[in-house]
Amino acid sequence: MGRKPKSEDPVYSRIEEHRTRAGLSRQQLADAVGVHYQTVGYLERGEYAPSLALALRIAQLVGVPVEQLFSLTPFAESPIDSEVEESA
Amino acid sequence: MTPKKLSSRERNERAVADMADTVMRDTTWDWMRTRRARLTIVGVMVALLVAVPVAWLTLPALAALGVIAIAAVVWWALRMSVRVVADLPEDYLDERQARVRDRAYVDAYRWFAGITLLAATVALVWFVATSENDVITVDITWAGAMAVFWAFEGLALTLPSIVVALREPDRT
Repeated sequence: MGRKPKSEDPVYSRIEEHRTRAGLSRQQLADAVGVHYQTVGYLERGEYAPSLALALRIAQLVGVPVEQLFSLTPFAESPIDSEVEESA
Repeated sequence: MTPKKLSSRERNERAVADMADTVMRDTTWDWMRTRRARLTIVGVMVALLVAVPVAWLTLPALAALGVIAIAAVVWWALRMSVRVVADLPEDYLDERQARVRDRAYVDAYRWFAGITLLAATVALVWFVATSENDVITVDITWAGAMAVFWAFEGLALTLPSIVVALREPDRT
């Protein structure tokens, strides 16, 4: 079976960009989804991969599909606004 | 309307919830939450874990209790430096903190088992080297019993927070 993927394995995140776009501070986002603000920092730096439930709560809060927030591969350097418009 | 009288269990749960909320939002003690400060606190804690049994063996009981009081203050600082993550029930931790706590307990258990095994091995070797006909008589004083008790109790109480303190990065 070998080594299992861990939550510390790289998961690329765009939470910070979408949080800023939604006008939320780290503390506000943390309070809204029920985690500590420090955990938001870990998520934004890609140092912690959230559970599916937490990922969906964050996506719902900032109003984007979850695949625009998290990826197993690095995000392309494209403006967030155009991606949001494409998904709408 | 008369406020509902809380049971002792409800009062205890409310106290834990209030304490958890205060600690999680606290910024007063952020200076203790840097990597350097945590390493310093862990160093002092380890020194006191050694000092407590030594104090029971070499000092009057009141002085030994004084050393335990100092250790209790440092233990409080250690817990605050990691926001009591190692000691709070899961209901008061988010999913990342719960994972950090669970991993800390696994490692703390291994460390405790290793230290206990080392102590047992040293005792066994000492027994084999000094006993005659596999019989040895140990005269243990009350202070000696306290030294052994506090050595292992101190480890059990502090190891989970020590593991978290050594693992958490330099961010608060």
